[in-house]
Amino acid sequence: MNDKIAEEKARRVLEVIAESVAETSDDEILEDMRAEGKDPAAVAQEVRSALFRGVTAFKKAKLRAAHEQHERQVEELHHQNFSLPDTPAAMRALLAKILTLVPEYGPALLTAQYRDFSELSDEDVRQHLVQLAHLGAMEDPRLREGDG
Amino acid sequence: MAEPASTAEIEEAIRSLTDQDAGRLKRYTIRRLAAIGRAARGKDWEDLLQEGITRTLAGTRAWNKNAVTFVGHLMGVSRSICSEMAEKLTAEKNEEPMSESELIGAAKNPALNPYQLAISPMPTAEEITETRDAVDAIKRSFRDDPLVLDIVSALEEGFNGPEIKEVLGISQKDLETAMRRLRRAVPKVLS
Repeated sequence: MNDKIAEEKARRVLEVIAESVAETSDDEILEDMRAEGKDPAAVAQEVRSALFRGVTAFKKAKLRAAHEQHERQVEELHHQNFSLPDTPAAMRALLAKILTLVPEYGPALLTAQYRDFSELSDEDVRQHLVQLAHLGAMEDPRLREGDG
Repeated sequence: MAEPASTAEIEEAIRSLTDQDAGRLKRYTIRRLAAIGRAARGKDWEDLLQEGITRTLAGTRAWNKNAVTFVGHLMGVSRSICSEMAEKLTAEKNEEPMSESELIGAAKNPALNPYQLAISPMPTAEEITETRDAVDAIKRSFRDDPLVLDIVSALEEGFNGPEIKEVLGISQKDLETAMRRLRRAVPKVLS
């Protein structure tokens, strides 16, 4: 226990000395630094650099976190399974139905030359359906009307 | 409602640091780390300030620029970080390190004996050395300055400034000049 007490006492002294630095006047701080043979301007530059390194480290970490989140989202999108119709004809019919129900998707999805999407390849139709699924278009209850 | 400073404001505050404020920050963080000894785990004043800035920017210790100066804020954050480090070491010392079965099966070889490996809640001699030796060295360097020695003893006992003045029968100026001698001696002792 004596050791513990001795440690606490020593810590108390060092903490008071540290806190006394906080209350030291500007003139004294400069005097103290010069008395130690330090150049105040050089010390100040050293401190500013250390702080800016902290800022840079924070920004990099933030950027890294944003990038990782983006990667995760992209990964999630790639791994989402949508239940698409089995046949190319059914897929094409579904795409037509979606574009009829929500025509705003058309210009966003199809270029002018494919407005008549009968010219789209089966793979293009599938890709468009996947994109629409990501946008939540497949959850429209009207799509199920008339099913069964 | 207090509004935390933005990143741009924090960057501007760093650029605007005066020589005096920057010097104060460096001296303060060095002494704060010295006060926690081994609990600092090798971190230096730059690490401490960078951690302070990171917490400030992340908003976990936002800087309320209307209530406190940038330097005051960073000293406060540094103080908290040092306290956390000291508390962490204490918690590690106090935590139950071994299961009962491990202790029952204690090996005879001291190197394999969990009793030997268990972290003692008491500081080790080496740990005490860092803070206590620093204060012992301070006392040795002031062996010809009885007032500073008395002040150090009073600080060890937990007396505050007014109490020290009263107990030692000294003026505010006496206390300030003695504290100044004490403060100036620390870099030599810690180096």
